[in-house]
Amino acid sequence: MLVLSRQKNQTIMIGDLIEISIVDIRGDKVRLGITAPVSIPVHRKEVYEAIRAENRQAAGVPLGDVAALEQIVRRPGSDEAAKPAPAADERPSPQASGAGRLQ
Amino acid sequence: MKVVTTRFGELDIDDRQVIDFPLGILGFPEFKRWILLQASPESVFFWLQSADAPDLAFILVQPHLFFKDYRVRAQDEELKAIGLDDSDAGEVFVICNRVSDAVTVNLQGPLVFNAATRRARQVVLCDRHLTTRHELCKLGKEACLTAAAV
Repeated sequence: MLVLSRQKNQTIMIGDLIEISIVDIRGDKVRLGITAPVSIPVHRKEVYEAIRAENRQAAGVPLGDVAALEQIVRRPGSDEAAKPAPAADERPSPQASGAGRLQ
Repeated sequence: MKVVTTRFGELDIDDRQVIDFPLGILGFPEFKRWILLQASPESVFFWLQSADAPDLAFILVQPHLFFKDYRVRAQDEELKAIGLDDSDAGEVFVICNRVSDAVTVNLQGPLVFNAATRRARQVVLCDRHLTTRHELCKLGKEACLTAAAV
């Protein structure tokens, strides 16, 4: 790992497009200013790792039976009586329309 | 185009239905083409199915239905990447997970869609009150959360 010493208001460049400035130093806390192209996401590592781990787990998932979930979680305001769950071998039939213009 | 899925069989999808995640989804950067499908009419659940990995799909909900005060305060740079000026102009969904006997949603890493350009990305929110696991409901109980403060 490259280790550089910098003072407040000094900057390092990574390639031509990424700049990291030392904005402030107080005690054990350093504030950084980062300028990078929009195509390069910048995150706090611990938050990034938490979301990545959660995505991986959610993708594996454990919520396969959405039809059963729909009996539990309803659109707020809908007080329609619970319908029997479809037969277990029934393949989910996703709708190709709805949710605004996204589908 | 034909999209092969393990859950829904082979789907015949209009190319214009494909949603582009130019940066992928965190943990899955290589998968950039996705399709959004409502689980059933009126359902609160949507499937976000990868167009390229048959077994890769997430279950999504629209968070505003359940968390009235939830706002996506994303960095401008994150939204510019999908052509949005601010997150209010986008459609927001969050990913569901199951954690022991509860269904949880990831409010810290919402998916913001630009319906006009059909581009989307997962944004990372810095709000300390948000986590990757907010309970949506307990399984095996009739009563369920329909509104909650974050």
